[in-house]
Amino acid sequence: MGRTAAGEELEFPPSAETKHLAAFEKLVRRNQTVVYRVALRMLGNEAEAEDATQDTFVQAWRALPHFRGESSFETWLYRIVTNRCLNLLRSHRSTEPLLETHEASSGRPNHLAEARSELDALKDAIGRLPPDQRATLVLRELEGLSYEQIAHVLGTTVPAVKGRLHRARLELLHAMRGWR
Amino acid sequence: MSGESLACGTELASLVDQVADGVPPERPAHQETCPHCKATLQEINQLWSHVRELTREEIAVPSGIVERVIRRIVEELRALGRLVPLEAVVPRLVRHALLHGPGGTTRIADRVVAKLIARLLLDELPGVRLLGAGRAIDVEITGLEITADLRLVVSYGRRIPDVVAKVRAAVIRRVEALTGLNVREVNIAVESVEVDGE
Repeated sequence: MGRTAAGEELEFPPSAETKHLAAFEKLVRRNQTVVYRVALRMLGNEAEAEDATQDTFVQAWRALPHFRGESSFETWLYRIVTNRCLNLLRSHRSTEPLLETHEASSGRPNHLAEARSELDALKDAIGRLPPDQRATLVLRELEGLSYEQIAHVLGTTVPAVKGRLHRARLELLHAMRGWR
Repeated sequence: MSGESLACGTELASLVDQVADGVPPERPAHQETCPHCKATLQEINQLWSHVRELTREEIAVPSGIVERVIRRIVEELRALGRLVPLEAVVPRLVRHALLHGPGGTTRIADRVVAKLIARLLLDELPGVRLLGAGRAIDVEITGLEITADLRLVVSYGRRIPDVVAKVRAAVIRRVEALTGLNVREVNIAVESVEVDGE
C-alpha cells in the first residue's frame, strides 16, 4: 500500500499515480518557501498566506496536465500564487485593513510611528499599495524577477509592468516621507 | 504623481529608478553638484536600503503545509473516484538534482546521469548493450535520489541473472561515485538476446 505524507493508507497499490503524488510532494516541499513568502508579502497576514499557499499547490496539482514547460515550474507557481492573492484582495479588501498592523496605525501613522521601526513602516506602505502595484513591487524588489517574467506572471506587457513599478516606487517614497 | 520634478527640473522617477534598478544617472555631472538631487538621492538610498533589508528577512514557513496539501489532493482524488493521469507530466518537472553547498548550488541534469550509464555499459560491461531503439535509459531524479530504468540486450550464452546483477551493481557504484547522488533503484528490462557478431 502506498502512503501519503500524512502517513495515510491509500486505497491503491504503489502505482504510477502514487509515484506521481510522491514526486509532487517533493515539489511542494521544495517550493513552499517561495510561495508562502509571496503570499505573506501580498496579503500581510500569516493565516491567509498559509491558506493561499495550500490553495496554490492544490490548484497547481489540478492544472499540472496543462503545464507545458514553457516557463519554469517556479515561474508557473509565481503566476498561480500571485493571481490567487490578487483575487483575494479584490474580493474582500475594500472595507478591511490590508495588514493586521494597519488597524493600529491607519489614520495616525505619525503618532504611532515612534514606537515602530522603519522596516515595519515600509511593510505597511507596501500593504497600502493597490494590489496590482503591490504584486509588481513584490515580484521585482523582493523576489528579483525580471520585467519579462513579471509580465508573464501577471499576464500583461513589459511596459505595463514598468509603469506599475514606477508608480509603486514613488508611492512608497511618499509614504515613507509621511512616516518620518 | 508621475511626472513630478525636483526644483532643479530633474524627474523624481528617474532618481528612484536609478537607485532601485542600479542604472546610471541621466545627468551625472548635474547630480554631483545639485543640492536637490543630492538630498533626494540620499533619501531614496535610505528607503531602498530598507527594501533590501526586507529581501533578507527570514520568513518561517508554517509547518505541515506539505502534508495538508497532499491530504487535500488525496481527498479530492477519492471524491473524483479516479486518479488523474499524470505520467507524462510529473517526471518532466523533476529533471535535475540540486546540491546546495557553501559556495553555491550545483545542478545535475538527468541526461548527465543517463550519459554516465551509457558510457559505463559501452566501455566496461561485456556481453550486454543498450537496446537501440527509443529511450533505453530513463533516469528520474527526485531530490537527491535517482531511479534508473534500463532496457538491455544480452549476448546469447550469458547467464541473464548474473549479467543483470553485474550491471546493476556497476551502475550504482559508478553513478554514486561520480555524482554524489544516491541511486535508489536500477530497474532492468532484458528486451532481447543476440548472438555476438550477428
